[in-house]
Amino acid sequence: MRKASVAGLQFASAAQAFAVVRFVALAVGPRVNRLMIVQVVGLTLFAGVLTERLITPFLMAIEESVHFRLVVLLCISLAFVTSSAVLSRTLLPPAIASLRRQPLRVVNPGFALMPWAMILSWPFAFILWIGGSDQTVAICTGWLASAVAVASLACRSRHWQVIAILSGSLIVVLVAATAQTVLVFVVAPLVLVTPLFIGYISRTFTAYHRNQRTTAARADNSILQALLHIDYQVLAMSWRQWLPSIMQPLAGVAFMAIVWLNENCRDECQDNGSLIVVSLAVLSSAAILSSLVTIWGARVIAPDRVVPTRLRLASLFLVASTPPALMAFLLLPLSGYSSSFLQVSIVAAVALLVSLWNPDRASKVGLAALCLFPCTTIFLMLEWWSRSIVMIVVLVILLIAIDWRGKLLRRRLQRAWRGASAL
Amino acid sequence: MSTPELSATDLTFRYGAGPFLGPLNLSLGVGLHELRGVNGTGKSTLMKCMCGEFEPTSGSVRVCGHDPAKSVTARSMVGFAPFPDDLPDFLTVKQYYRYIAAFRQCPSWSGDAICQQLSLPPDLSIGHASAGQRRKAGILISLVGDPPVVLLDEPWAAIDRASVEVVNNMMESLRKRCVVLFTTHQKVAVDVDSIHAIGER
Repeated sequence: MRKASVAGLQFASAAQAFAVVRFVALAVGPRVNRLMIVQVVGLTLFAGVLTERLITPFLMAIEESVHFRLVVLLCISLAFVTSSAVLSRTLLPPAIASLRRQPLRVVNPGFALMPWAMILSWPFAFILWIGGSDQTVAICTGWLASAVAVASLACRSRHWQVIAILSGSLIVVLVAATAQTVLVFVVAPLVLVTPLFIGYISRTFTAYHRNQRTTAARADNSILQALLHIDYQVLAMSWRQWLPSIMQPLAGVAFMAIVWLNENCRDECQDNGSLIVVSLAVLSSAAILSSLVTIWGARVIAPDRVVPTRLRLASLFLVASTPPALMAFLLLPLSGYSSSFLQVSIVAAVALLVSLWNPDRASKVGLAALCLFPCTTIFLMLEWWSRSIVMIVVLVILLIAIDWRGKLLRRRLQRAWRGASAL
Repeated sequence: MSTPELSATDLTFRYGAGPFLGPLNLSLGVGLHELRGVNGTGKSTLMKCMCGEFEPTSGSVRVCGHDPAKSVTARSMVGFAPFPDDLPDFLTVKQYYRYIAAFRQCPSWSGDAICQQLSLPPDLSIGHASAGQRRKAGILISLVGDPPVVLLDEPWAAIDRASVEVVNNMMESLRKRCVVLFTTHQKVAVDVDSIHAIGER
């Protein structure tokens, strides 16, 4: 009798585990697949188009300097850690997070995500491997990096998150026994713990900006100035949502600076590298617009009835241009990149169009913009004059599309306002 | 099974460096209990602590003597309909019900009667459901496995007048055997056994 009840309990537990895994597969499977397609396209373009121009000098630099190799590994780990927001949105949608309140005996839903997180780690392992690391170390590093990321997503309390990260680091220190891997896993926990520290000072920072916001719409400001002022104040308050997305293009700028200092990449190589880094800023533009859409909702296109649609689109365009413009400005001393202004405009326009496409689903903006990123690298195949012409044509098409979409959203909003007035 | 009971002792919860809830003391028996408070006082947060989704910063929550944040037994005794909901867009109402039934190890589908009363099609895709239909689906899901403790956050929000009556009747039937705790900002048409107010900030 007792044997039968134990067998029954085991069967029930197995059925529960199977249900959890199936539910997680349904929830994150398609998202991970979409992200993988972007990874494959991005890496294929990266490896295919840039092998001669970027990777060869990159490998030469690695052979020359051990320190450079450490910096590259650091950048990769930093990129992984800072992309945790995208990972979290992909791997931990609300439906998965809600499993925490279910009576699951056999499996933590967070850890059920592990296989999909492992799948996503392959580009990191691949890049480490190209970078000259031992193949086994590269794969182990990639996998353990995902394990640490998933553990931090899965654990309920901050204390357990920190313990999981430190345990992961300890395992790597004991198993890998190479200075580079150890460095990655010593630095990564520090970066992860940093938000804890920042949390303590954020309250003062937010309170300061809340006071400032009331002075945004002064009478002597133009409408555009007031819109920009309010948007920047909103962004200052929600800095946690978009600031991490700037880290990846900044890491790209650091990489370009090192390659330039090593004299391994000049002229055309430098131009192409700049083009990629500025294109990478599309994620930051998308994250910034996503934060604004989250705050404003459907009214992002017209926070007030008196604001003309085109003026609002212009203000959003200017706000979205800030990260790529910053990257272009930082890269300017390194290369006299002639098309940077056009490219900054295209990057901002792409992010704006994607965010206007469906303002109700702000969280998907980053992923959609990421899908468009590989397209911009196609410009690398063109000569500078044909590139400029193509960029102007693309920009004009994007601006027309933005104008059309903005007007459509405004008409919908006005219909809603009319409906509300009629009531 | 012992008498259903839900309690919170010196409960506090903090979102990082953000808003702070508590300290709260609450003890609820079988019946219908209303949780009141102005926006932002932590009603939904309190419910998330009570269902085990959040672990309190200090103090304790007990569901029939068990801590829901740590005990599987306690979590199996609580049904929760959060607001806004976190239903999966990629499933139908019936499919999601079946998954929750599998997690709770109870019969896979017994929601026909409630669906009919609430005019909720079981094969409706949650991703295509209206706000009211999602609310109804949330209430249906909170009742999977007939839990002795039911937490309903804004159960009447966005639902039509006919369904309001159905929800009222459902709550009347639950009050005899369950601890039902709900929040609302609307006028309540059911008799409540107790009202608990969370302090203003």
